[in-house]
Amino acid sequence: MTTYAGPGTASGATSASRRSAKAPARAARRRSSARAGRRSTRILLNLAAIAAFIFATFPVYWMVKTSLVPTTSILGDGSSGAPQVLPFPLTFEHYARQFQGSAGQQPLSDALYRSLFVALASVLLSMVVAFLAAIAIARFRFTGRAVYLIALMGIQMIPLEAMVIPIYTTLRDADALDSLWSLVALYLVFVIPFTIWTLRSFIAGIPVDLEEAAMIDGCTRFQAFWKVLFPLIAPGLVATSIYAFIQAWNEYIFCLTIMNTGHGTLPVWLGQFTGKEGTDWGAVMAGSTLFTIPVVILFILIQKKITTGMAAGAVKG
Amino acid sequence: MSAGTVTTSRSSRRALARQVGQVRKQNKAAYLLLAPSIIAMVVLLGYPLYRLVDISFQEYTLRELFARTTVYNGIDDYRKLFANGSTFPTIALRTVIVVVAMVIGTMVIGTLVALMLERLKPFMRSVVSIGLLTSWATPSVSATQIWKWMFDSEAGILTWVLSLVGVDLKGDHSILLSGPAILAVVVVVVIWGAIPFVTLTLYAGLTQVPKELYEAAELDGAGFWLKFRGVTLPMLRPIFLLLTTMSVIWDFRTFNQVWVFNHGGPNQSSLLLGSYSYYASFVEHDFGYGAAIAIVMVLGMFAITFYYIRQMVRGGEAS
Repeated sequence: MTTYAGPGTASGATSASRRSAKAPARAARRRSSARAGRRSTRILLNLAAIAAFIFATFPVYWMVKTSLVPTTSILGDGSSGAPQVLPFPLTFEHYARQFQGSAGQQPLSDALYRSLFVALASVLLSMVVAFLAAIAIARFRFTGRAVYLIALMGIQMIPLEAMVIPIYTTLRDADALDSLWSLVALYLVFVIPFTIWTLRSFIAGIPVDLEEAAMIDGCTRFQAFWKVLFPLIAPGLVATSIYAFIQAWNEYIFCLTIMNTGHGTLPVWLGQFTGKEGTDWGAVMAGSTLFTIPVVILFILIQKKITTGMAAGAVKG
Repeated sequence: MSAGTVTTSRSSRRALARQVGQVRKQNKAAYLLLAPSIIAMVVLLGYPLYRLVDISFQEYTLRELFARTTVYNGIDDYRKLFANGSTFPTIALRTVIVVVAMVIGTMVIGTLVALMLERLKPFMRSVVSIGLLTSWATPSVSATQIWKWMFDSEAGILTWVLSLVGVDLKGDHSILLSGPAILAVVVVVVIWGAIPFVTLTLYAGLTQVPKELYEAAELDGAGFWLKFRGVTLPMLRPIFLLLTTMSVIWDFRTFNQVWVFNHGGPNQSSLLLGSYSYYASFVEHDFGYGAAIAIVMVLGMFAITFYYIRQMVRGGEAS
């Protein structure tokens, strides 16, 4: 049964010793088979883990790899042999083209500044607004609470792409087109239904007694929220601000319609490289890499905070 | 005696008044806290949504947009949805099939990866987590470009891999020429991007399940499947509910992937409802019809998810 024998198992024992100590040998064999079973499970698990890792990261690797080879090797020689897996011959020509920019194109630095401004401003504002609203839902019983909660869910079902025209005309009538603050306000509104919903469960997981103790010690109710509750749900705030950041960082259509040409954020800037006469894959992949890698690094740096935040949020679902 | 009743009734009335006052005071504080979110949502979503409904009852094309005129045409835009030769029913059915595939794929793979994560040693666990964070952090526009490139009919690596097992996607067989093929890849792209959130949330939930429950189940001789059904599933029910509902909503709205891939082409064959509404508005310039599609879609989604949302709201109430 045990074709695989680990060190210290009985399968290598002589027949004599096996006969003389039959019962212990059988027990040992059973133990060893269990251990081997456990070991093969572990090998399978690790193989599955490697497969999951490759599935998750290969496309990103392929993007980086494509951005680092000359256009001629990207497209191959037409004989359709196996694609090259390593970035060889290495070149930075696609990046050089991105950084130099060309006449009539929006500079990378300008798009980067706009992206960072919009993302950071909308994250900070949405955290404040969502924190206040989440307190109201988690700590107060008020008329219209259920309606508010259902509205939060309902809002998330609206396909935002369908809202481009009414939002465009609304901003046009308010004379607020081509303004980064309009984008900030829009992204704020797009993310708060979800962030309020999530923060609510974080707050619900923290005992009210803590705030009540602070109030007995002379805090007002709002001081108790600020001094006691706020630090306690910091992990939750990190987790939800990541969500808000990604939304603002990725948003494409509204930026395209609301901002004038040359005033776009990175996704729109990235769009300029998809020309009419076929896609310049080297340029697109270099642009995508510049756009993607900062977020990947940010995610990996604050990895621990994200997962602990999620663990805390998961308690209450 | 009678004086006593008067005082008790008076004090109870005072207590009642105090309670009412407190309720009102709670209302006031709650509304104050909610004010910023409500104002922002009403101005930037509520009012445009009202306009969207309004547009859906209008003849609204480029002419009306620029001339800023209003021409009501009743429910003509809605009638068009179900008129003979309308593509709406086909696209709606296609969307349902695609969304079911996305949600099942995301939830099943996400659950399996989460269960795997829990059993891994710390080193492998952080390797997989970093992989997941990488795909999670990849913007959907970039992700779609990458997958499109990997399936390129000339030099795509997956085109090459599939050619080894006899699937020809070159030249005339390019996936860009076939709606179903594009949608199959869109499903993969969406699942690829959605798994990290689902997996990490479920894994976070798994770490909260008391170990004693599994030990007790093992003593009763429960295997993997029984432990999953008897312990994991009921303990994580609220999380599963939230994730599934959110996945349905998010996947129904799939837009970037479809649009970046091939603008819903060839010949509208890779359009889903989210992109169909945009297509009607910005390609066919029929904003009234686009608005009608969006509204029917929202109502349909609300009908599908209403039961679960009510459960989630109730769950929040109980906590």
